[in-house]
Amino acid sequence: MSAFKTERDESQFTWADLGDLALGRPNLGRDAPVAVYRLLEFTLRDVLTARYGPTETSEILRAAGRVAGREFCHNVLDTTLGFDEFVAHLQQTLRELKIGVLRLEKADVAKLEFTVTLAEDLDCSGLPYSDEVVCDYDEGLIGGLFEAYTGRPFTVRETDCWASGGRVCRFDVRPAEPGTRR
Amino acid sequence: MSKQPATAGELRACLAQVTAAIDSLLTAKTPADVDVGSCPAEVQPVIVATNRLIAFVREIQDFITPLAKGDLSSPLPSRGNYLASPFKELHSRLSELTRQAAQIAQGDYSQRVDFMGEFSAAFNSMVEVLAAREEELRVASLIDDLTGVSNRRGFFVLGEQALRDAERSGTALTVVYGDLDGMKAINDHLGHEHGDHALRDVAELLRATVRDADIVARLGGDEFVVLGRSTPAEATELCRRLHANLDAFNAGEDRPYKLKLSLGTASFEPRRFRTLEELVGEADQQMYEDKRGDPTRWSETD
Repeated sequence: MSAFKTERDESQFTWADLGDLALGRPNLGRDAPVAVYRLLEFTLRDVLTARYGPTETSEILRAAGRVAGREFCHNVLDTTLGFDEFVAHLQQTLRELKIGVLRLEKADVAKLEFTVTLAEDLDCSGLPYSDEVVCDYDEGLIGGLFEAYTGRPFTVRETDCWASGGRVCRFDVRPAEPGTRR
Repeated sequence: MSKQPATAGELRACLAQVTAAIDSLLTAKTPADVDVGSCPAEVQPVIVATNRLIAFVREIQDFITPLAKGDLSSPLPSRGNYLASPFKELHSRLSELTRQAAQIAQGDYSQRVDFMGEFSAAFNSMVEVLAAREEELRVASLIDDLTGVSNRRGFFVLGEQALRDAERSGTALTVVYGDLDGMKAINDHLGHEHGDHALRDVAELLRATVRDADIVARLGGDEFVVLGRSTPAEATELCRRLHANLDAFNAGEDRPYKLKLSLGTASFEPRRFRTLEELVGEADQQMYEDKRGDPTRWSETD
């Protein structure tokens, strides 16, 4: 049985925490507008920033994204596929779920270093210009996906974002240096 | 003490620098920065903005000149360079397209493009044609042109799979080996056209006699095989049916030749046969026994 409000030192999230959507929303269904998703995300970011500051807020969102990426990979994706097939599968799934259009801009599979872009990003595409990269959650999500697939920790940093003037979000993905904060 | 307002001459000199810089931009040249320090304070914000514009355009030029030649390795313009955004997006699309093309080259024909406008449809169509042609070639490489049944390669591709299935599931598997007797005489006395016709007749007769799931193949020359999930008793029955059908064919067709097949069978036993070749070899041996032995071996009265 899930316990959403119990004290915890580390993530206890499981896929079952998302609930039975077919049972719970027989009439309204599984989907909701992007604006509703962003309303949740940006009000949460707003309150977290007011309470903990922007740096810590980014860390929190990144950590949440990492849990999401890990669980998404284990519960939705096929991790037995080879790398190229896995990327194709990931691209198709992200598109079908309307999370974004993922492209692999550079890939050094031997070094596990990648540059990925996300167009029509659920989190940020269309945001007002702020000269900031804001997709902290996506950084975590992508890192969590790669970690779950490869079994190795990754550092993901956004280098371009809609909010900073880009038209795609661009992420550098590389294995985490031991001891670094992801 | 307050600073004196700029003179008209100072302003003119400064604006002349700005004008020259913008003219350079408009003629696709790369201007040097305007010297902010040499301009009066009143117009310095304009100079700073102009220099920013120059820096952005310079960055874009450095990026798109190699990009226009297909070089995707140039450093991307800086994050805040709004003007560069469409070019960076184009770079992203071309990079993905390049990766997809490399995937297709490795045989992944599931790749499709939907982000390059009209080019997408042309590209996808090319991939579909490539995939169809490869499939045609693959099928053609497994089929015997003359008779339309599997060739030797096709037989072993399909047969190895059937052998693995039989090993795993423990189901019966039997090879029937058939050799068309008198083929040389047909070729020598009636000509190769009739010889080819005889081979097609045998293939058609085999297909009409066996089950749809059985594999019929011409291994070469006048040698045919049937591989199916048959027990030894079922294979014997199949041979009888084949001979009965041959008799009916020979009685009914107005051909200048008669068809006669020597047949041999071998059933898969995991301890006895390790490979399909060994199983086929045993059926071949049995066929030679048949050729040398009792001509009424497969008759209904036997």
